[in-house]
Amino acid sequence: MSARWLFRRLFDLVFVMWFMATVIFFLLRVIPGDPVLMLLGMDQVSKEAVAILRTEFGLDQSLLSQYFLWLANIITGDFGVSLRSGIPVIDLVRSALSVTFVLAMFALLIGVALSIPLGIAAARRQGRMTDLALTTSALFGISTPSFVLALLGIYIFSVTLKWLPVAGYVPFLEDPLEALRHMVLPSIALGLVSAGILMRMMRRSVIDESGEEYVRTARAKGASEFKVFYGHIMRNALLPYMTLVGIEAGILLSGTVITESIFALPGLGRLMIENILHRDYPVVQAAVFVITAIYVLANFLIDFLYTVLDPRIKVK
Amino acid sequence: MKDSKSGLTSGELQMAEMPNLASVILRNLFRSPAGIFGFGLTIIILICAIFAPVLAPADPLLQNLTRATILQLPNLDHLLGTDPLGRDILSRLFYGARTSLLVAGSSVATAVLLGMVLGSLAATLGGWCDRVTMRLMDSMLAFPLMVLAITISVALGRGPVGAIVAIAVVNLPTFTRLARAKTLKINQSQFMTAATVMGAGLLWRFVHHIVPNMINTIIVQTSIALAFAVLMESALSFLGLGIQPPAPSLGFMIAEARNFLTLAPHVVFFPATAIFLIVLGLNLLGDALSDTLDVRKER
Amino acid sequence: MDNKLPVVEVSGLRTRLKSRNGEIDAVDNVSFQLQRNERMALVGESGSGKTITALSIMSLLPVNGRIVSGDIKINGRSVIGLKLSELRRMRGRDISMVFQEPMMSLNPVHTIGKQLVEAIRLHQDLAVETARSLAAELLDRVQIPDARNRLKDYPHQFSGGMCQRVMIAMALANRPSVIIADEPTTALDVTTQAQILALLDEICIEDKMSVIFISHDLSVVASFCDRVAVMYAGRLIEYGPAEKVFEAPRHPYTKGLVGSMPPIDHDVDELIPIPGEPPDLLQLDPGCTFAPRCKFKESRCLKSRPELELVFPGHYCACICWDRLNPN
Repeated sequence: MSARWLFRRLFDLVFVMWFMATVIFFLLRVIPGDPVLMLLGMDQVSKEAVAILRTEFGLDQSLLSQYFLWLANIITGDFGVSLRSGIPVIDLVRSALSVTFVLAMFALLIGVALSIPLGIAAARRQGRMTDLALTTSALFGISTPSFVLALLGIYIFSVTLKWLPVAGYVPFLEDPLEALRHMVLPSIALGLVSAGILMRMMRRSVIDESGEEYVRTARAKGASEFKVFYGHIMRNALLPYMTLVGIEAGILLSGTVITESIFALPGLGRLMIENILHRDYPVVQAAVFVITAIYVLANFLIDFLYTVLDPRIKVK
Repeated sequence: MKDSKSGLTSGELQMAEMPNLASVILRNLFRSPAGIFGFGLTIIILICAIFAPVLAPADPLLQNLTRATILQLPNLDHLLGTDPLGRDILSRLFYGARTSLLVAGSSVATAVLLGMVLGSLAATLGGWCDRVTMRLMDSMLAFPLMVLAITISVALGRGPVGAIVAIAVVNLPTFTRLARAKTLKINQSQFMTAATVMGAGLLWRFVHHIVPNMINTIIVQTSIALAFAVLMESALSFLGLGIQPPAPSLGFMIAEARNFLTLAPHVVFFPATAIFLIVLGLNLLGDALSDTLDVRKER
Repeated sequence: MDNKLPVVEVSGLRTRLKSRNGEIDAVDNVSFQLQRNERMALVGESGSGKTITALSIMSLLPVNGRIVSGDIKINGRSVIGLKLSELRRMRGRDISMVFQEPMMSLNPVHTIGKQLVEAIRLHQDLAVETARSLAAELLDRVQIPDARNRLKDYPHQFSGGMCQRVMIAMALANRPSVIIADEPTTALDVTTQAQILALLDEICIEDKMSVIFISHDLSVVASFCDRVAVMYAGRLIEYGPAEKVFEAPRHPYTKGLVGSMPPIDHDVDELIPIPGEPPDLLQLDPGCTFAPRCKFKESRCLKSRPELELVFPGHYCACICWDRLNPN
């Protein structure tokens, strides 16, 4: 692991963060609609009132200077203040972050926990009934939008069986059991789709690796089937699988946006959507920035892990 | 070296052989049940979408707001029942499928065409042009897709255009990278050098040499992208960001019916099934295509 | 150990492979014996059944293959019907195999050291450090320089020839009685080929190890092996001492094979390939499988399969015209 590689990747990281911050900033400004007017209501408002508020929000300055100011503030962690409520954005983001993070984590966990054993099972019984059943389920999983799965889950478990609550959020520290009960459906709805994609990849990986020559060598040496499978085949099959997990993390994060809407979870996605309509720039910018930052970091970690595990990757 | 199974030559797949490609694809698709099913499903849905005006039994926009006529269960007048505003669900499904396919299709088409051009240009021109393009694409991939799509959609105002651009942008990096990788490979080949020496211009080389050699991968990737695009479109319209009401869109139909989940679940699940079938068909088609057009045979 | 006991004894082996279009007898009634310190070549075109024979002996057949009849004895012990755990104990200890593609035959994510140590510790109860020292010694023996340090390297850091040396080292690790080499040099360049062969030669002499050397290349086999077995379409059609089989082949196919090789000591006007193609094993005609391509064929040949007969001391041939062939 050379320092130069690490340095270059960090530089990439910073560049991407900067790039997306810029894109977010300017994209939002393109949206028609003035936040001040939205705040004050479209009725007759005095020009002075508008002007005062604009100055207060710093919206009277040129776009570019607003941009640079915002960038500078991000570095210090100051995301500004909500135009609507005046609450420092950083507080809003912090409380929303834990919700989104937990949701995404659970969903990813479900996805990985399901996909690895099922993928292996399907690969080992390739062509037989189990494989067919599993592959078809995975196909169905990835052909269903996550919000449909969510609504289906709500219908079955909340409305019909009444086992789980329909929506809402309970902080973990308040009541762990209730918190879990509220998280179950959203996590599963999100996680199942990932499970489908990941399972297909695991299955393909295992099948591909099983056909490789070194597996035959291992058997010729007299290794047990257990050793051949876990020491040789899986060790190789996990590599491409891991890369997909990184990509899935991103898809999951975006998926939280809709899931939070449906289940009324106060996470970053919901923060973003609600405030986009009100043109509350600072909040939306921050929400999008943080979500993307998590994704970028997650992929950075996965890349790093990959270089550690695969000796063929030359870190020049 | 001809592959006797699929009849596709590895290596130089010349422009002249393109018409054969279609018949080869079709012939091989019918070998597997998945291929047949996927192809069939997609064709049926395509027909429903294209001929929606003819096939739909009722006017999808016609509201009928009386207690008796809203949220009806399937009956003889309305084969799939009615929605919260008394509109015929079946007809709305036809038109909704049309919307989904239109939006998904145009966005993916844009992404494919633009991606192929950008990617091969980047690969051919090289230098900073290549670096900048790839940086841009990688950065775009850094965004969680939905977040980017929502932002773009909102930025461009609600409506189909926003959705189309958003989905196209989200898919662009994939096709650009693909085109670039394939072009790099083909540019290094000997017959490419020969063609250049013979005086073939950029456009000619692109059309006659570069495109045929990536067409297999592009086809496979396109069907995968289409499936994904339909999912994205349904998610965007669920959030109210796609084609605007009262025009029917499958995602929005689900959003509208959400509040009536307990009373009339069918109003939610019929459009949901429609989305499912469209995406399933496309996925099956994509899987079958990727088995048929063995991508590893390409140069 | 009784020195007269053959190290490997194959009797009437029949191995069937299942494919989408049906079943074929990839190995059809093959019998031979390998003595201690003897080197035997198994030659034939691709598809002749040589590799499947080797895999049958090692009980490493693919999922679609099975041994339907016959017996295989290794060091006097029958391996047909043996429990999997017993088979595993024999693989790598009594008998080893070296494969054709050395770079692909090594696990890319494990170090060479780890793979060697694995080979050793599967059959010998040694501490890891001891095994590592042994591994270094083995690498030394196969002439890999700086052995101790190279244990930490990965396969992609080795050349093809060096990978093959590592494979040989792994095969030798537990001092097996016999080593099967399946086209060990085909994937390597000519210079490396010669080196690997020389290495094998040296090791076999030192360890008094028996070898089954599989190849489609007669020139490689000629200098290295004592006996040659020629396979065609799954059957053994000629079997005898190397010089006799090469100088005076008794089966038309062997004659064709020998004649299609460019001789190294003089020029010839043209190389004579064998006309026609190997038969489709799914649709075998009755009679001799080589008959369609044979220029000596008679009506008898198309009706019944010729069996292996002893034509000279230690030399067998499965052709009724064996005495009509002019040695050249």
